[in-house]
Amino acid sequence: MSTRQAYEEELSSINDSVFAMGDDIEKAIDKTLFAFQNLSVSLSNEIMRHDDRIDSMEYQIEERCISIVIKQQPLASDWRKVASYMRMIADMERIADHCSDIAIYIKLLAGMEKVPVPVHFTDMFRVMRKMVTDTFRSFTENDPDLASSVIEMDDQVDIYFNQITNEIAGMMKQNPENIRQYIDYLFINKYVERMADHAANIADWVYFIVNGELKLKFTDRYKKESDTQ
Amino acid sequence: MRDRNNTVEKWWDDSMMESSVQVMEKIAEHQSAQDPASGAQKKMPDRMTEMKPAAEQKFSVKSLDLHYGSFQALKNISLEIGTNEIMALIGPSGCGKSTFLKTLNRMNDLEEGVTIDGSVKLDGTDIYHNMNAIELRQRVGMVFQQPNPFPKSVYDNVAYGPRIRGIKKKSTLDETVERCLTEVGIWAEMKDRLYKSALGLSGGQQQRLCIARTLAVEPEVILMDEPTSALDPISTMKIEDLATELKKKYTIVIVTHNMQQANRISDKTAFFLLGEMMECGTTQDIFLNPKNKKTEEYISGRFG
Repeated sequence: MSTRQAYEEELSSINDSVFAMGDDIEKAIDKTLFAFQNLSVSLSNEIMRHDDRIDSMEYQIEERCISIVIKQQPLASDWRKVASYMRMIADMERIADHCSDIAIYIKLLAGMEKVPVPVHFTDMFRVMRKMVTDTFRSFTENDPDLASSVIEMDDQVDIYFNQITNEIAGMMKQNPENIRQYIDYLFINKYVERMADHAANIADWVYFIVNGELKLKFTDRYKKESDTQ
Repeated sequence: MRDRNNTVEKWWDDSMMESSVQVMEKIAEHQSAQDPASGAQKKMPDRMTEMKPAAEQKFSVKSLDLHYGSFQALKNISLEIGTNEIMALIGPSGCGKSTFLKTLNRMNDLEEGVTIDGSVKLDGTDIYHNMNAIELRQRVGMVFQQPNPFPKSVYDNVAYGPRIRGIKKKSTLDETVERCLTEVGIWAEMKDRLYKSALGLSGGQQQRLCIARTLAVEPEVILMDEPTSALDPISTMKIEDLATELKKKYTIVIVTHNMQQANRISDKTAFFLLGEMMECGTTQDIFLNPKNKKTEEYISGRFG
């Protein structure tokens, strides 16, 4: 096999590994929602154990990206891919971490009196889940429009996040003896919101691979936040 | 709430927040006082439109065709080369990049069977119709692939150009030799062997001597035709450093087969293929996000 052929095969093999890691992340998210809805301790443990596997996938992909950069000095779209893979897997790994973070709170919640879940919680989770699915689909299908739509979906998650936070605050006032459970909900709420952010970051890199520019490089997100009183 | 900006989430207490907000407001006030336009959101400069105005273009080439007999080596090339810029010309062998380089100081118009159409302007003056070759070559120097010092001493090599231009005064020539050898970074090595033959130098030293010889006639543009392809990596690095240093005073056009070299040192890159210029843009755009499919294939090693 010529050096160049080997290079192209390694590139596409790294690409496949990123897909595979994406698959694993989606599964972890689904398990997390299921574990939350059923307060399942055994599934929570499984999610946390599985995190090691995702960490090692990230590590291996990173190693291979570094090696291909050193040996082949990829340029143009090849380089956009390799650089983006390295950033995407970092965001993917964070999503998996947050699944484990949530699993910890699920275990805590399982040991306490059950209190009602905030109304929109599952909705927010589903939007985040859709963002992740669409991000990976935009990646496999090279679809920058789909990637853009994921980035826009993040606003919806932020709205849910604020609503749910207020809802939890109200529940805490009404039901102060169960405040520990509500605090846990609050954390989970934040983790889900962060997972959506990471999905949007990945979408950003997909957009970069296809179009060669970062869509939200200079996000005015915090400017908007800082302008509101 | 994406923290790409690494903004610390609001864990700090309000008093801390207030003071930093006040500081930021002061900075904002200060900025808007200096620049009345900064009230509106400042637009980021667009790399593609960041071309220099016409007055700052050193070379302006329009619709250039070149034939060797019936073979057309350059097809309708139009290209602007900005002052104090390094322009890299890349492309596979036989694509016309060296031919193009030579047209910039008329190295090929006297060759038999060569016909040239279109215009090549240096600071707005047509070099084929309104400038003599002697003036042109004083203003536009050239460095070749193989170091080609004259079989003379180091000193005589550098002093050659000024002497031809009629400078005889020893002190002036001494100054020129020292200035040029200093500019190319070999004065310290050469000052004790100025009167020994240049042919005894290493390849890298010879190439830098050739650049010094070019500088001695105070050119505005330096053309380099694969100046490092015969040199080892260390000498190559020195020539690259030198080019980056020289661009502060001169405009540089470099033909190179070494893609990483073009990427490292040039501001703009033009890609040639089969006598046509396929794409020209900022080096970053060419190497990160080329618009032309052929450019993409070439620089990512898929052909050529």
